[in-house]
Amino acid sequence: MSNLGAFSSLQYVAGDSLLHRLDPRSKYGFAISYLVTLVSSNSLITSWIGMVIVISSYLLSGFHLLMVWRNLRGIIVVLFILGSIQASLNGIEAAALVTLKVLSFFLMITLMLSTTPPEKQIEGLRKLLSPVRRLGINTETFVFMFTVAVIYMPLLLEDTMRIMQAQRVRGLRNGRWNIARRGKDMFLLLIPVLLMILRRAERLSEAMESRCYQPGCERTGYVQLKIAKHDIIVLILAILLPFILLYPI
Amino acid sequence: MGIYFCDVSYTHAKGTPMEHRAVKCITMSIPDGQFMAIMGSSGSGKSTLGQLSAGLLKPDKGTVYVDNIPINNRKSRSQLWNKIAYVSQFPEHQLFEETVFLDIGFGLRRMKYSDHEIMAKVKETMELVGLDFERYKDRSPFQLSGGEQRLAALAGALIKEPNILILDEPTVGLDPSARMKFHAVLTFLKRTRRISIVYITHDLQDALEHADRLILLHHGELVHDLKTTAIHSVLDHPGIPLFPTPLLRLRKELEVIFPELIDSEIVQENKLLNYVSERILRISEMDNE
Repeated sequence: MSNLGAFSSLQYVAGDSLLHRLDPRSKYGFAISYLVTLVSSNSLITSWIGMVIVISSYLLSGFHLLMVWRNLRGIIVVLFILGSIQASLNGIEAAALVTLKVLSFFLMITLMLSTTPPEKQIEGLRKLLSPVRRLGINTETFVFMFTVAVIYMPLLLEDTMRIMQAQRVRGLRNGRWNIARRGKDMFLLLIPVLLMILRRAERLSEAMESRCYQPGCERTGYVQLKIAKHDIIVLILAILLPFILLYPI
Repeated sequence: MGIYFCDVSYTHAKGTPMEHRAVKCITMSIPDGQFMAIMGSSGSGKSTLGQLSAGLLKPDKGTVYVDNIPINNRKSRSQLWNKIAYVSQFPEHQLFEETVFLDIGFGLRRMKYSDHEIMAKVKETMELVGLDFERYKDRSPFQLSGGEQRLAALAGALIKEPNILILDEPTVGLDPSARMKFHAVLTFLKRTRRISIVYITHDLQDALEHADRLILLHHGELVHDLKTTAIHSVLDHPGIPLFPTPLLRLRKELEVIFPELIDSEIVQENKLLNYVSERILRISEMDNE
């Protein structure tokens, strides 16, 4: 396992905390309600509370707080650019608001992905989308695409890192600030990475077909989901969250 | 000179719950011109050790010195990468240019060699590893077979004329003829150039055939550091799945019948050949007398 910077946060991290045990559906519910509240609020205090909520959820998940920093390290440049644009256009307060919102948004999504194993994610998404399926829309393919993207992203990045390593060891000598050269070398990565994606995709489809996968077919889940008491509490919290946060402020 | 590991440890994904300590407190040195094999079960830290010696990973603890230069030193790193060549476990991750010619010449173009020089060197290196220059130079590296890709990756590594060559499981997935070709190149390199080779492998036969020295890893720790001729002393180690080669099995049988008469040097086929032919010659001389 190599360090993939910001993207390592998209990987599932095994654990046995309350958040790991929660049903993915209740987690999705809470995350959606949280994100909607966050996006629609316009006050600094709400954003701060949102930040506190996400940080305390991190603590609940049993992860080291250092991980929050590690996850953030990758997007710090984006945050900085966003913040400075806002600061120059709308002043410091707006910049702080945007920064806090983006931070909480990113942390909430990474927290959800890193506490839910992929198989539970698929099953949760499938169950959540089942009403849509009854309307005759094929959701199976969408769910599958989402899952493959989540599972394969880290692998793909690892491959890319390997090729970059190979470039380095074969005499790539970049000055830290030689951006033109760096860009050119990144361009060299395109072909092998694209090839690797296609090869992986082909291998995956072969593997799936050999196990009788048929697109659009009704499937049973490997993981059986069960709503427990704490899931109901989380769902109630999810419903209450917008009212509590958006009402007085 | 060579590579020197001073109390080196490395942890993958440090600081995350996926933390995994791959290499633990290793101190050893690989002198110039030595062929060293690193063996151990899967997950014992072989590849990590290879990447550490190539300067691709930075140790958490301790320092790796290559020709007395610490690899942590950012300034001397480029100098270092001219001395070290690394062929990774997956050759497809090592080829990235449009044609085989461009790929093998990649390092030289970066060192500002002239086109003429690059052409001559690429040709020489391709012939050294056994790839026909005219036939392969314009082909895409991604269309080559596994064995050819490995040879192309090896050529790309060798073109810098490194002092140290690190090979990470180079013969995995090769057919017997490609394997033979690869071994022939290694033997040639060993004889003609003063180059240290670190050969990471699961195959005891390969290791015994070429290496002067064997390092055995177990859960990231160095458990044995021995000459290949002393291999019989560790064959029964429970943690390391070393499957004895036919020659070692034969030796063991013979040792039961003729205790303490068998030469300990006989772990390679050519040594056995020498041993037997010497005996036959002696017997025929005695007969003549």
